Parts: sequence; structure tokens; C-alpha cells
Amino acid sequence: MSLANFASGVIIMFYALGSLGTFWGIPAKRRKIQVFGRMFTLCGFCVHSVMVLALVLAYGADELSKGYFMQLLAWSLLLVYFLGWRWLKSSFLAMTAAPLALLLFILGLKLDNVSGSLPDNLVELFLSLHIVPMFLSLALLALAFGAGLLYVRLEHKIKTKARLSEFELELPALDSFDRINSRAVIFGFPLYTLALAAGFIWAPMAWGNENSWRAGAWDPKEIISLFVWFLYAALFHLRLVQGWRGRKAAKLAILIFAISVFSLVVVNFFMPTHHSFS
Amino acid sequence: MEREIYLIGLNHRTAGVEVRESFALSNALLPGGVFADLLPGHNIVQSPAGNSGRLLELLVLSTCNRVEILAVAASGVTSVSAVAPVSGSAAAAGEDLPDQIIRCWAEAKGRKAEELKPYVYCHRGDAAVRHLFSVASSLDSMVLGEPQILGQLKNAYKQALDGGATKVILNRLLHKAFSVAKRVRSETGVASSAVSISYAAVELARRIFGDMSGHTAMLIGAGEMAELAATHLLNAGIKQVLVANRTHSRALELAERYNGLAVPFASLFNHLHEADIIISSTGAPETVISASNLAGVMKKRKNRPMFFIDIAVPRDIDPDVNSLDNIYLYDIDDLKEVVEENQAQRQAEAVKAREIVAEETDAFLRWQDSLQLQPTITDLIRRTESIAESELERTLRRLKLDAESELALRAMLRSIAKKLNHQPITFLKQRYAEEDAGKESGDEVGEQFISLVRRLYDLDNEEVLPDAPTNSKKN
Repeated sequence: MSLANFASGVIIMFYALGSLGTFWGIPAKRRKIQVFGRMFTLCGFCVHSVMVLALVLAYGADELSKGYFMQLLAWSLLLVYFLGWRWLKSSFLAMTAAPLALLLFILGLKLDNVSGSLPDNLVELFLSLHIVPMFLSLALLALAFGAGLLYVRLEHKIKTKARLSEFELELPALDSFDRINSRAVIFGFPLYTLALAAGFIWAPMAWGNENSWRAGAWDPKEIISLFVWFLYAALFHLRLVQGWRGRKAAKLAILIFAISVFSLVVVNFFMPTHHSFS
Repeated sequence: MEREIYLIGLNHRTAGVEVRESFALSNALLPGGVFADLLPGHNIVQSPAGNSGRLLELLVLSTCNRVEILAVAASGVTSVSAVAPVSGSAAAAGEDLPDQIIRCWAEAKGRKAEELKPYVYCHRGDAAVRHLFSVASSLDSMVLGEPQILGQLKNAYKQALDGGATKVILNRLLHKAFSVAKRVRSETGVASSAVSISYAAVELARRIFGDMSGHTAMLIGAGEMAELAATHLLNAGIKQVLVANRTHSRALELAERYNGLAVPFASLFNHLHEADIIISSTGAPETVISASNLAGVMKKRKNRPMFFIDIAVPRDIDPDVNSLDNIYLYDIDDLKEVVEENQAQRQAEAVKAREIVAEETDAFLRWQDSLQLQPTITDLIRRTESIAESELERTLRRLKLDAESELALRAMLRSIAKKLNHQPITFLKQRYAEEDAGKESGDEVGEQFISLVRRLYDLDNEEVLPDAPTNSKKN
């Protein structure tokens, strides 16, 4: 346990130094500080990855706490972030990764004491087919959301010829936000589909048939997830086939993410569901 | 010996273009140039008069917007023998050093000093330093923050350096000017954001598309401003330029210049979908492109964004185009507004920049004051003592000696420091004494050695920018 505490401390320190590099280095236009910040962020992420993996191996998949899942969600988001940073060469992603990592990691620690239990049928398989893809797709959706918000704001200003603020002048070009948004949706939707399918197969196996498929006995989480899936599918289709780009696509991604967060916070914490956190 | 820095010049604010033209001083310091005779060490006869001396250092910057003559003389010198009245020309009695330089300048251009004088400003000491720093950081330029002036100043410095006209003070002053310019550029927004219409258009295109290398621009019609914008786009790395013009031969000509393709004006709409950035400047009395033309184009482009820049009056592109998704339209007034806002922003940033200039001017003057025998000796002793002290503390912390040995150690270290300093200090004093006695008739040796010692022992913590011209010869 003390080892885990120590690891948490190290991770927080790395992410905090990374954030410092961002908040100090960018306004002061000091390249070296920014580079150090990124290195610290990456170091933090490496330790974080080791910890996420070590906890599964140490406790076994069915003994994990709810806090662990928050930790895993934070880790997924960061993974997506870092991959996006490398592939899209977006320094903006690099810039925001560290503060976000710090925030999510600390949130995860807060929930660490809430114990939970996964149904123990085929738990490893479904951890990798349901939970991990679900978290990755949520992370991609978060990315699409962030990029979408900035896109909508920047686009509105350029369209109406309004003056850009200092912060907006530092942002990357409009097109790169659309690209981030597009990639996130195109990779995110198949993952979401996989996670959802695995969930619907797992649910009756885990909680018993008669309970799951009877009309009116549907879990609120399942209903809302299915709804999100339809919206997500529409966005995927419109982007790939109908050539949607820009503002409309960004707004739809924002909506989908908002519903997902509602589902994660309100449903998981306050509604009677198998995904309950309380 | 105390030095005084003079700066004499005229610029776009004090003189009209005709005046600037007729008093331009290009290559003034090259052999045969108008000031070649003023260069230190060039046949200058020491005047017997007590308050007469020579220019010690000289630099001339001459561009289309300004002439700046930077001179260093020993303070107290009120006239320069080399600039003594040329036989035949009437010199006013009691004219001081700046007057002499002005007269020399005017006569070199075949004019009278009175014709030049009303346009000229003359600064000395701190005002001269401040003015030079403002010029270098483009605060004094016609277009605030424009980058060319720094390069021109570097060239002027290189010319003076090659002619052997700069020494301790101007070398330091110019290097300082380059670093002030760099500080202003990186710490303020004086040079950020476009202040010309065509460049503002290109910046907007960058804001929309980011990297230009995968994008195509199309010129519809050709005008000066459109061509300027195309040049900026090419500099920004755009992939291809298409040109459509009612007179096809003109289109071909432009396409050749930009290494692009000419498109027949009649088939404009067949090619429009290939272009990401469209710059329109035809002389057409009615609009050339309207929203109804673009539905098919956007379908072909799969909604990839398009940026229309309409710099024609009357406008070529119907304003309703801007209401379409993923299409952005800026006309000449929109761009003007952007430029005006940017100019206002630069003015606001200039306040910050002037603070930097004031700060650095103070720092330079402090250095200049320290370039004397006594301050240098003090600095040297303080420097060695502080090194000795800190090393001693480090050692004592480890050794834990009794009081007596500690005292002995301190005494020994102090005497080593003193002995090491003794030789350089004696040397400096001797050179200085020689200079005062006027033994060394050539250069001001004492000052050069002081500068050398200050640099050897790093008494000023100075830094030299990597791209500044440096004096590789003996200083």
C-alpha cells in the first residue's frame, strides 16, 4: 500500500512539474522550460502506466476499487492525448495534457476508497472487451469535445470577423481542430460499438437472463448508452459518407460528449444501476 | 579619459523624401566615401589647440528613411581637427562638434550646412544611446516594428567594423543595440501581427488552414495588391498558384512568375474547387462569384474550407458567400479593419518596448561609467575576493578547523588574491599614465586594456548574440 502511495506521490509531482512547465514556459516564451515540462509529463505518464498495470496484477481484475476505474479512465484519456500529440504534432495537445492529467489523477485518488465489485464471470475478457474500449472511446470523445468547443468559438470569431483574444491567437489553426475532432470520432465510434456490444452480451451472463431482457427492467445506463450509440453512429456516418465537417460536426460531438458525461456522473452516482458508484 | 557619444541624424519625421534623398550617405565609411577621412587613424593631424581632438569612433547608418551618424569623441573636445574648415568655406566661429559633422556632411553632398541643419537632430550621451536603441528595435520606424532596420544596422556596423572605425564603446553599444532589439521582439508584441493588407490576408489564411504546404491559391484578376498577397503566400510555402484573368496572356505571364498554372477565365468555375484560397481583384462592375455558384463547388471539395479574399472595389464576391458553411469571406474593408487593430496593438506594445529601451540605456550608461581605471580596479578586486571567499567557505565547512588555522587560511587566501591582482592592476595603471602623458600617439590604449580586462574577468556579465557581427581582429 505504501508503495502505491509513494507511486501516487511521484506521479502527482511529475504532472505538477509538467503543468508548471506549461503555465510558466508558454507565457514567458521559454522553449527550454516547455520541453522540460513535456518531459516531466511523459515521465509521469510512464509511472502512471506502470501503476495501472501493477494494480490489476496485484489485486486481480475482480477486486478493483471504483477509484481504480477513475484512474483507468484518466489514464485512457492521457493515452489518447499523447497519441494525438505524436500523430497530429499538435503542440496544443501537449500544452494541455499535463494540467488535465494532474486533475484527473487527483480525482481518481479521491475515489480510491470506494470499493466495488465486478461480476466474476469471464472478468478478464470483459475487462479488455468492455471496460478498456469504453474508456478509450470516452477519452476520444473528450478530445473531440475539447477540440470541438475551441473550433466552434474560433470559427464564430473568424466568420464574424471579430477580434481574436491573445489566447486565441496562440491557438493552432481552425483546420487542425477539425482534424482532431474528425480523427477522434473515426477511431472512437468503432471502439464504442465494441464496448457496447460486449456489455450487452456480458450483462445477461453476469446478472442472469430473466433480469436483463424483460421489458421495463432495462438498466438506465443501458438505455442512455444505446441512445448515445445512435447519435455517435449518425455523426460517424455524416462525417465519413456525407462529408460533414466543421461547425455542425463539432456541435454534434459536443452534444454526444455532454450526454456521456451526464450518463457517467448522474446515472452512475445517483441512479439504481449495475454501474453504480455509490 | 571620459568619452561622449554623439548621434546626429535625420529621419522620415524630420525630413521629406527629397531631403533624405539628397543627404543620403551610402558607403560613407568605405575608402573614398565621404567620411573616409574622418576615420580614426586616417591622417588626422593632432591640433595644437587645447580643446581640439579627434573622433575616436564612427558609424554611419543610411537607409531610405533615415541617416544616423554615431560618433564618439573624448568629452571636452569641442572641435575636431579633421573637420576643420576646408579652405575657402566660411566656418562660423565657435561651432561645436555636431555642427562640424553636419557641415562636413553637407559639404560632402555639395550643399551648405544651413540647408541641412533644419532637418537634423542631435543627441548626446544618454539621449544618443536611447535613440539608437529605439531605432534598432524599430520603435522609430515608419512602420512600427518592421524588421528590416535591424539588418540595415547590422550592415552599417559591419562596414564600420571593417573600416576599423569602431572601438570599445561603439562595439559594446551596437552589440547592446542588437540584444535590445531581440529583447523587444521577443518580450513585446511590437512586431507581431500583420500591418499590411496583403500580409493580413495571409495571416488569416494561416489561421484557417495552418500549414500552407498542402494548399492551393487562385488569383482572379491581377492587381498590385493581389500579386503582393500571392508573393506572401508563396513565401508561406503554398503548394500551387492558379491564375485566371480576362486577358489570358496576362494570366500566363503571372502564372509563369509564380510557377503556377493559368486558367481560362471562362472555365473559372470548373477550377474553383481546386483552390483553398481565392484572391479576387478584377475590375468587373458586378459580382463575379455569388453563393449560388458555390454549392456544387463545396460538394466537389467535400466541404473542405475555402477562404475568399476580395480586394476589388466594387466587390467581386457577393457578401452572401460568407453565410455558407466552411466558407470565409473577407473584403477590403474587413482587412483594413484588421490592419488598423493590429497597428493600434503595436502602438500599445511600443509603450512596453520603450520601457525596455530605457532600462537598457541605463545599463549601458552604467557600463560606460565603469570603463574607467578606478571602477575597474575596484570591480576586479571585488570579483577575485568574492571567488576566494566562496571557495574558502566551502572548504571550511568540510574541514572544521580551529580558529587559529582558519585565520591563517584566510590570510593566505587574501594575500594570494592580492598578489594575483597586483600585476594586472599595475599594468593598467601604467598604460593609463602613458596615455595621459600622450606618449602613445595612436590609439587610446588605456581604455582598450580596461575593456580587455573587464572581458577577461567577465566583470560585466555580458553576452554576445551569435548572429551579431563581431570584431575578430585585435580590439
